[in-house]
Amino acid sequence: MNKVLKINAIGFTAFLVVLCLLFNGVTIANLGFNLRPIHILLPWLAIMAALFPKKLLGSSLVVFLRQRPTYLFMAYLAIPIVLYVGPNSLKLLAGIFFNVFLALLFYGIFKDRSISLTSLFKMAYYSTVFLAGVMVLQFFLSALGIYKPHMYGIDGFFLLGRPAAFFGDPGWLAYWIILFSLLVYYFYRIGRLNVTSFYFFLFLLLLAVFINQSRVTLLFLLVNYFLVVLKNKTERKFFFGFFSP
Amino acid sequence: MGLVLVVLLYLGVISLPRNLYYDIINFDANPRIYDARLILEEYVKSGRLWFGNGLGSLSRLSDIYPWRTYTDAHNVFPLQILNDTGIVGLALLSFVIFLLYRKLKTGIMKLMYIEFVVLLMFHNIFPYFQLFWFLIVLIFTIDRKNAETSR
Repeated sequence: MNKVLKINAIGFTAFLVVLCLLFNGVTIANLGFNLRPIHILLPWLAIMAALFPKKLLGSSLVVFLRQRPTYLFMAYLAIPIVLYVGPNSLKLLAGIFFNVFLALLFYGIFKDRSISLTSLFKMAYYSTVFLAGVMVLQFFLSALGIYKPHMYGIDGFFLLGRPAAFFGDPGWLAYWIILFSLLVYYFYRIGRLNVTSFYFFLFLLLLAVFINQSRVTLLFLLVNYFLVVLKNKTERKFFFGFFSP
Repeated sequence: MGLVLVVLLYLGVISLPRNLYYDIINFDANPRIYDARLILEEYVKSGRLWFGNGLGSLSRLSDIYPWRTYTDAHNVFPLQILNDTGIVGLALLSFVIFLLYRKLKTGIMKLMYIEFVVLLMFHNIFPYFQLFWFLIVLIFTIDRKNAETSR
């Protein structure tokens, strides 16, 4: 009980980062630019960096110093690009450098010893289940006529659109689902996830992807199943027979 | 299962979704193919094969060259890079991708990294968005932690 109640500051920050990036496509308000959850997270990240400078910035500083020639090379490349293309690219380069700094901070957070591999796998499992659950819920609510989701396109399987727009960009959703479902498959493969929750996960995800009509996601889910779950198993021979006409 | 779907399609019970229609029946209507053809044509016509036509995203390039008629999709990253930085830039980029691949230790993260790169080629979020940097960091941290525990 004590273990459960003990709040870890860096673990909590990692949780916030994951949550903010899950909802990053969602625009909260338009203040000249689109205000996103990550912008609200930034002050908290600054406080954490001030409280634990050694933990968060130390490891990223090591990375930075080790890769110093690379960064210098990039800076030298940036100067002629700015001179040649003009101030338009300055904004772009500033954005890239800001994101690189943010990535170094993320590295400091996620590399910390308090964040275990199991918690990262659990993050992958629950976030994908959450995304798929929201999509399925939206589909049922729209089928009942209670709720009208923002949709991409028309003329889908049931003459419905793609209800992925709740999270902003369907492309992001596809990235998240493909990469983190691969982690969940691996977690199942090494025997850390039980059969029931794995097949519940797979069923929900396939239903959501079928509703979303994301062809690339479906393809990658099946390819990953073949490559990771069915590795060195006899069922592999029957896999393609099942899906081909 | 596939046979049942084909028979149902033939009988007209179910209809193909529009974005599957792109892939199977009218291949030229696919915006990615359209963009790819346009970019490749312009690249060959410009004659700057080694160093390309200048850096920038598709929207910025369409500001500079208003006669271009790209669709909204930013989906053909290799050809964009080829047009903007030429053969030298494409070779440098693939070298950087290979260097990062070499630093990974466990097989599962290598697979995830390859899939990540393949996805980036067809829906470009590099490197203007935080999700790219978050995922690349997560791939490396999980790889290191996995290598520690499995050793």
